Amino acid sequence: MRDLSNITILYVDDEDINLFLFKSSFEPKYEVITARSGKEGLEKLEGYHDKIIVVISDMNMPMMNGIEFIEEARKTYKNIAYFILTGYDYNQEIDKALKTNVIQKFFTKPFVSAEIEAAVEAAFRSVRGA
Amino acid sequence: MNSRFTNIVLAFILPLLLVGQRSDSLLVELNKREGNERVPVLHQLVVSEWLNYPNLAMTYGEEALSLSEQTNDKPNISKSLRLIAGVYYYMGDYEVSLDFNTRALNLAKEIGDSVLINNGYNNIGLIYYNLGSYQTALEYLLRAKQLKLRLGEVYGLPTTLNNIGLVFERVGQFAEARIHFNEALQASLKAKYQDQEVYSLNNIGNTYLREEQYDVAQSYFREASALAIKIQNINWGAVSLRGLGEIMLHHGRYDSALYYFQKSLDASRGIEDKKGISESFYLLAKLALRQQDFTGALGHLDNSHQLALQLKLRQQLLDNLKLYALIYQQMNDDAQVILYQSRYSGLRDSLFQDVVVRNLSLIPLKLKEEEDRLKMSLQQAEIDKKNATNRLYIIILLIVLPLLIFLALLVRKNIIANRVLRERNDELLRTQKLLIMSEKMASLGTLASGIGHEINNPLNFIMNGAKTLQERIEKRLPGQSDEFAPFFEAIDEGVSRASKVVRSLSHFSKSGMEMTDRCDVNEIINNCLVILNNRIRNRAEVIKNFTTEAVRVKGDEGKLHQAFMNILSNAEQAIEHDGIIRISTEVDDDKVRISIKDNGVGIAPENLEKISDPFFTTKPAGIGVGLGLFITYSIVDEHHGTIKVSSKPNVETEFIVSLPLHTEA
Repeated sequence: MRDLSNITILYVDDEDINLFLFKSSFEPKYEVITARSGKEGLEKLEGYHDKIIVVISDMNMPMMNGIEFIEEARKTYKNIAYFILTGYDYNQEIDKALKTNVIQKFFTKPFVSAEIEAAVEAAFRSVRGA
Repeated sequence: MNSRFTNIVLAFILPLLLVGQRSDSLLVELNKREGNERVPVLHQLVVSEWLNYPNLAMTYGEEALSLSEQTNDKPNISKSLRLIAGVYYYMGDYEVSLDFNTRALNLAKEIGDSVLINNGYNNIGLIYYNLGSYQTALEYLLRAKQLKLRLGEVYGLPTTLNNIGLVFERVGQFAEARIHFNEALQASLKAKYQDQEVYSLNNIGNTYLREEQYDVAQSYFREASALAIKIQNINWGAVSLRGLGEIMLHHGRYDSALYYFQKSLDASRGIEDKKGISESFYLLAKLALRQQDFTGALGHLDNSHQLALQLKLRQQLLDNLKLYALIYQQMNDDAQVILYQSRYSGLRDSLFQDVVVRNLSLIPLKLKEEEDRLKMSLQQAEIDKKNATNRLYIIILLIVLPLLIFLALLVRKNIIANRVLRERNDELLRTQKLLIMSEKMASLGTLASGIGHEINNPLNFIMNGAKTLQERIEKRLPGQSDEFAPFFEAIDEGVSRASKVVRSLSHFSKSGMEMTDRCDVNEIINNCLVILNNRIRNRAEVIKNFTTEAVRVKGDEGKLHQAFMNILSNAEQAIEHDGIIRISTEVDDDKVRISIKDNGVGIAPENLEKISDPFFTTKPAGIGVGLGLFITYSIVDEHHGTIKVSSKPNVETEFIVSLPLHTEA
């Protein structure tokens, strides 16, 4: 069983405040890499895919939304757990993504850190085969 | 030589036959009968005797008439009258005969006996012929002929045809006359009516004689006389003899001519045929004149003339006067010539005048007949026209009726089509309004979800910002966190509430998703209450009595939110102040029963049935469209549920919604 502090999360959101708060909330426990768009997220994945266990993305972003980004990322990086964290409620696109296993879970804003932690740790266990 | 011998023998034999035996058997029969039964026999006797013994025939006729009159036997009265008329005719009394015939004819018409009517026409025609009214004669005779042909009365036909021929002969149209005589001959042969056969042969012979075709004439007269002897018809036999005599006279064989004329005279005398006697004397006079025996000629002529006067034989009288003039001319007695010539022209004129007068007197009669005929033809035409009109109507009806039916069907179809169209139109209008309504709801949902996103992000800033801040304070100032805790809790509560509202709103935009969602009824009602909270809070208390476990139904979450929102919103609106809204959910077998009660104004009984109708509203125009509950009913129906409503105005109004529970597959 690996140390939890070795868990690396990629968080993608187009709002700096969200990135800052997410990082502030989870930094003590995990390593958090952030990206401000889907495109940047893919770049970060290219650099840190060996470390990243969980990808959490905002849904509504310019150019490429959360699901589109995750679909693209999934093509190359299959051994990562992908979550959506959205200001929207449940909708059809998310529903479809859940059913087709493009994403494993979705969370709504304002997020409850405990929920996300539980999901991240569960993903860590299943991905790393612990 | 041979033919001449035959003629002589014939002429010799004829008088011997004078005493005919034909009526003997009839007399025997007559004596056997009494009263009315005698009539038919008497009639036969008249016919058998009228030529030869007119006086005797007259007594038979009169007896028959009187017997028939006693029993008012109209057909026999008519027949008796006609037979008596016949006797008068043969006696040369044409006027009296005409009178009797007319009476017979009128009676026949009265009883509608075609045979008697037809005999009447024939006889009257014949009399007019003898009276010199040829036109009238022809009219009657042709009428008789027509009637006989129509009735198929073969026996009477030759007589009428012969009579028609006589009229043409008298006016000098011999060829035309012969056509009718020949027809008569054929008809007599067909009917085996030998008397008429002799008559026809004589008549044909006469036409050839007038045309001076003596040989042909002779052959006909010979044939006629031979047949006359065979059938013992003295009258017509005498006529044949006179014809033969005239041919002899033409050939200048005076002895032979004298012989024939003498025998003819004897024969006519034997049967008291005054007409025949008169003719015979006339011919003897002619013969005498040819032989320059003026005294003899005048003597014979006087005899002829006396009888002709007696019988009013007009044609004979004229012929006689002409002959007188001729005799006196040859005697060079100019005074007598002038006398007779003037007598001749006088008689001719008076006869002509008679004819004119008679014709004139016939005019009203003919006019009336014509009028009757016209009236009848008009009536017939009217009937024909009516029939044609009726037929036309029927045809029109036959054409128009199907058209009308077709039209009616068309109209009916059209009405039905119109109704369907109107219904569809109404339906369309309803759907359109519903569409607008749901469009509104959908855009409201989109708006809510858009706003939700924009609010959720700042809420995230606040909540997680505060949370991180709280963690940092605890780290740096351990043991003093209690002092800050209430502030963080207030922030948490505010964020949580705001987030709830946003989330509740977003549920309304979820329409159109598959019906496979598992919707928690309790959660749906809570969401609705969150939104209505602001409006309810100050006026009513909400008392919830929910199942402890989540109650899930299969359906469209967005739509179910709408459905309950409408019921709750109505409850809220029914309350003015101090109201109570009780909401309970309970599982009943495979259903969830949701009861929503309020103590508001309620629904009037007359409106209870209408609340599910689209556009039914009690709110003022412009405020409510009346679709709320209609939509609710539609949605619940879509989810295979039911709604029950009961209301005691101002006391309690309850909506009970039943929905099938979602069973885990």
